[in-house]
This record gives sequence, C-alpha cells and structure tokens, in this order.
Amino acid sequence: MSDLHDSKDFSDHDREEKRELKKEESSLRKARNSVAFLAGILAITTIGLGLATYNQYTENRFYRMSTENHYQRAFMDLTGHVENMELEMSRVLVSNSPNQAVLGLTDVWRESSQAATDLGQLPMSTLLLSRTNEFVNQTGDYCLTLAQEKVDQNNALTSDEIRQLSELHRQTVFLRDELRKMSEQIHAGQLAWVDMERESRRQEMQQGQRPQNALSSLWNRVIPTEAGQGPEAQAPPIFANFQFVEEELQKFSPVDYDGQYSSTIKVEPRGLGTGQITQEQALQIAQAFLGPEALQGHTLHVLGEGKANIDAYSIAASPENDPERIAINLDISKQGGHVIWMLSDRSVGNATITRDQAGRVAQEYMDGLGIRNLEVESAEEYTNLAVVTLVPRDENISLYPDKIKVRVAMDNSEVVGYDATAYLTFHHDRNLPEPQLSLDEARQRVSNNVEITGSKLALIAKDNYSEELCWEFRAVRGNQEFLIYINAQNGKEEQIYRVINTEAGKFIF
Amino acid sequence: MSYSKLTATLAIVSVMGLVGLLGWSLWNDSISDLNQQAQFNDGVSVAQAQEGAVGYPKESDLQMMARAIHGEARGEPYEGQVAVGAVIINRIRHPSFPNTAHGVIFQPRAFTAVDDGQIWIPLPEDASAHRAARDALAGWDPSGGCLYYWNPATATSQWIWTRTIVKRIGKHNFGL
Repeated sequence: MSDLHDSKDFSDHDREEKRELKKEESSLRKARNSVAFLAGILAITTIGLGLATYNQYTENRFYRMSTENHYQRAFMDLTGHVENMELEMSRVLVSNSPNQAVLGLTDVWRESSQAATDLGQLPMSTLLLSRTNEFVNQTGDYCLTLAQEKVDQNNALTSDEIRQLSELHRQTVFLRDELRKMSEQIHAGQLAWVDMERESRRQEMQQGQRPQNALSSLWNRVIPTEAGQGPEAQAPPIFANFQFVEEELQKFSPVDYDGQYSSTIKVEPRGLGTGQITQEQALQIAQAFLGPEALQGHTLHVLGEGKANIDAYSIAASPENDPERIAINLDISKQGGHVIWMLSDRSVGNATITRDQAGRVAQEYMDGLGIRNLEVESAEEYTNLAVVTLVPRDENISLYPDKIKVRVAMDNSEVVGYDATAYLTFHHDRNLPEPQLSLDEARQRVSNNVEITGSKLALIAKDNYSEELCWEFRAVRGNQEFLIYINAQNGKEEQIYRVINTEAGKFIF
Repeated sequence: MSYSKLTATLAIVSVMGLVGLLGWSLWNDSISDLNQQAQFNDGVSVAQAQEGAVGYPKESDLQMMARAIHGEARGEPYEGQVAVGAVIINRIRHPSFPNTAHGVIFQPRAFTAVDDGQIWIPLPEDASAHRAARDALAGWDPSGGCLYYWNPATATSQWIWTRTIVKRIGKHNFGL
C-alpha cells in the first residue's frame, strides 16, 4: 500500500516534473519559434527591400541614361546645325545671283531654327542661354528677311548686305568653334549632362538663398566668394563654356534689320496723347470707366505701378466684405490717362445671347466710351464668354493694327474685359495715300484657283510692325476659305491667311 | 495546425504581401504616371497637334498652357494666372526663347511645375486656368510684356534676382 502510495507519490512527482519539463520545453520551443519567426521576417524583408532597391536602381539607371542620351543628342544636333549654318553662310557670301542667295539664306534660316529647338532642350537656366538663343534666332531671322528682300528685288547681295552677313558669319564661326571644343571635352572626359545639371542645380540653390537668417548667412560665409569669382567660376565645365559664349556674344552689337526677332525695332506707343496723370486721377478714371453699377459694394485701390510696354497704374476693385479679393483689375496709362486693359473674373451662367448679339453689345459699349467708327471683325467664344475684336475704319479702310478687344459675358450681356493695348500703341492720324491700284487691277493679281467672294481696303501690319495698304480679298477654294492681301500701291501679294472655322469662332492662320 | 503557427504563417504572408506591394508599387509608379499622360494625349486631335505660332489657338497649345498655368499659379488671383499665360506667349515671341508653346513650356528648368511634374496633376474641367489660357492667347497681358516671374519667398535660383521687377501680382514678381 505504502509502495503503491510511494509509487503514486513518485508518479505524481514524476508527472509534475514532466509537466514542468514540458512547460519548459514548450516555452523554449515558443522562444525558438519566435526567434525563427523574427529571423524569417527579417530575411524576407531584407530580400524584399533588396529586390525593391535593385528594381529602383535599374529603373533609375534606365531613366538616367534616357535623360543623358536626350541631352547628348540635343547638344550634338546643336553642334551639327551650327556647323551647317556656318557652311551655308560662307556659300551665300560668295554667291553672285539672287537665286543662289535665296536658296542659301533660307537654308541658314532652317538650320538656325533647328539649332534654336536644340538649345531649348539643354538642361540649363533659361538666363544662361539667353544671348546664345537670341543670336541663333536673330541670325536665322535676318537671313529669312534678307531672302524675302532678294525675292522682291531680284538682285544679288549688295556690298552692305555682304558686310553685315560677314559679321554674322564671323560670330557663327566663333560659336561653332566653341561648340566643337565642348564636344571634344565631352568625348575626351566622361562628362555627363545629368551630373552637370545636378551640380549646377545644387549651386544655384546655395547661392540663390539670400541671407535671410543667421544660418543662411553663416552658410554664405562658408562658401568663399572672392572678387571676380562668382558662380560662373565654380560652374560645371560645359555650363562655364556656355557662360563664356554668352558673354562673348554679348560684346557683338546686334544686327540692324527689320524682322520679327529684330531687337533694334522699338515700338513707341503713338495713341496715348499728352499729359501725365496722378494716382488720384487714375482712380477717378477707373471709377468713371467701370461705372457705379459694377462698383456697387466694391472699393477701388491702387495695386501698384507697372513700367512695361506702357507705363501704367494698376488698379483693382475689391468687394467691401473681402478686401483681399480682386474682382476687377485694370491698368491706366500714366501718359494720357487711358484704360489699357480691364479684366473682371466672375462665374458666367448659361449663354442667353448669340455671338452676333455679343458683337453688337461690344459695339454699343465702345460707342459709350466715345470710340466710334468701329466694325466688328470677329467674335471668339469660350465658356459662355465672347471675345469680340473690333477694328477702326478710316473712311473705307479697315485699320487692322489698331484693333480693340471686348470680352462679353453671354449670360447677361455685361462687358467683363477690355483690351486696347494695340489701339493705344498704333492708332494715330496716318494720312493714308489714295490706292494706286484699282479694285479690278488688284483682282487680276489674285490666283485663278480661288473664287473671290468679297473685297475691301485694309491696312495690315507685317512682322516688323511696318504697315501696308492692301486690297483684301475673301476667297474660297473647295471648302477652304482664305484672305488674300494685294498691296494697293505696288500690286505685291503681301499676305495670305487661311480662315479656320471652329466651334469657338473663326481664326486666321 | 496550432494557433501560433497559424498566426506566424499569417504574419509572414502579410509581411511578404507588404514587401511585395512595396516593390510592386515602386516598380509601377512611373508606369501609372505615363498612363495618365497617355490618357491626356488621346484627347488631342492629330490634325491640331502640329507645331504652330501664336495666333490660332490649337487645342494642344491651349491644353498645355492651361496645365502650365494651373501648375504654376493655381490659388493666385485671376489676373496673376492670365499673366503667367502671357509670359509664355511673350517668350514664344522673343528671340531668347524657343518659338513654340510646347518649346517654351518644356524648356528644361524654365518652369518649376514642369520640372516636378505638377503640370500632370488632373486639371478640373471648370478650372480657371482654361479661361486664363484663352484670355492670354486672345491678347490680355496683365504682366505688361514680361518674360520672367518668380515667387520671392521660394525662388532658389540666383539668376532670377538679376531681373528688373516690373510688377507684382499676388505672390509673383514679374520682370524683364
């Protein structure tokens, strides 16, 4: 019994021990399991992140290379086009007939516009390439303008033109040589555009920060800036080369010619009249212009002064309960006190008037302002707004350069915009001559391939702002509509526009 | 299967899923961007996608200008938005810049919103940038002929401070 008891005792003890052992074992197993579990997670995470990083690395390398190749290609194309510009110019310089001159000159223009496209793809601040871009565009534009003159006059280059072209050729040779040097640098070393771009961006960020606080002024002190050692001294190689080109090209004086990109043409506003106005007067003019209805619940205040194309006071009307918001903005010229433009931005409901009705609203509005003799030229429509272009008439001549635009809200016929920049810049008493060509004589000069549907006298502006009195012919070929301009003095076919009909209205191109 | 084993399996699977998702998303983020662009490009008709001068507002020019204005000047006063559009047009007409709307907008380092991809954010149909692009193309120029603008609080380029400030509209300085 005692044995039994003993054994029972023993087995109880044993069982207890076993239980404890089991407990220990299981907790050990649990610990081991959780370690394995954690290790597993860690391994998987590491592998996962490693894979993701590797993916990112290969992706990054791919896009870096794509970008690098894109920049390289733009630069090599640029070099090629500038080389061709130089070659074509040298050929024009030894030509002795209008046909060779015109062929060569238009080739220079083609090469230069491609070079300009390439320049626009290089990863540099627009300001770093400003003069280089201008040089390439102006050289091409000069050659195109000259080609047009050669076609008109049907003669070879004059000695003056040879002199100007030789000067441009010399500058092109300089640009070509510099680009060649840069190519050699790129091919010799391992200069990567993406690295140069990153470096220049980093420098710009550092130097761009003006000392605003203690930290940034300390930072500025850490970077040594000795006299004559501005940002250009530390710029990455090719960027520094372009900086040099930019500075050298600036030393040459711009070529004097009449073309689209000529920098020697300055347009002085001719329609402003005389007398300077004060800010107070400007506010009064704005008040009278906008009228009490539009200004109800609004206050007028001067936003600032602008010294751009036309010196002006900028004036805003703000709601009394929200003085920060600008409901209406308008600029008033300091000279003569004219409203240059006005813009009111409000939500416009569904249109209740047609484009033609908007034209009449605009005309009445201009009558109210005291500018009469205007005819509606076109009306463009978008998001329930109609932009009506009006053109003044001098007797029976439409003066296209002096156009005025009126923006009409098509929900309640309110005028919500006005732009007289062109009118104030160009309108003046021109004393236009009588046309030398009669309507019939001009009609003879229009192509036989069109059917003429209308005609009138019009003054048109060319790219260089020079003006020509022309006979305008509306003409149709198939289902296409054109405007053809025959010079009323010398019979030259000055301009051909295609009229494009869209849902928004008619446009010319 | 014991409860702890089940939890461990579930945990491992979910971690794997997470890592996989991470990798997948990293792998795919650029592709989804491209899809977004592709959708946008589909909206432009081929006939109007030719290179062009200012004057006749082609649908693709308008779209890109509206996107650039929205990316650069949303939240600015309306005339500030038109002025940004006018700067793009003034650049097209100026010899120191590319000669097309797309050339000017995509010129590297020219617009922050292009460099950091903000121009590809979805452009709401009723965004004022659409009207601003139209008004700028129609001729309104609140900047008065400017070629540059910058936000004086955030501008980082040292070059920009060499410009003459002509006007301030909203948060932007406009200059020549």
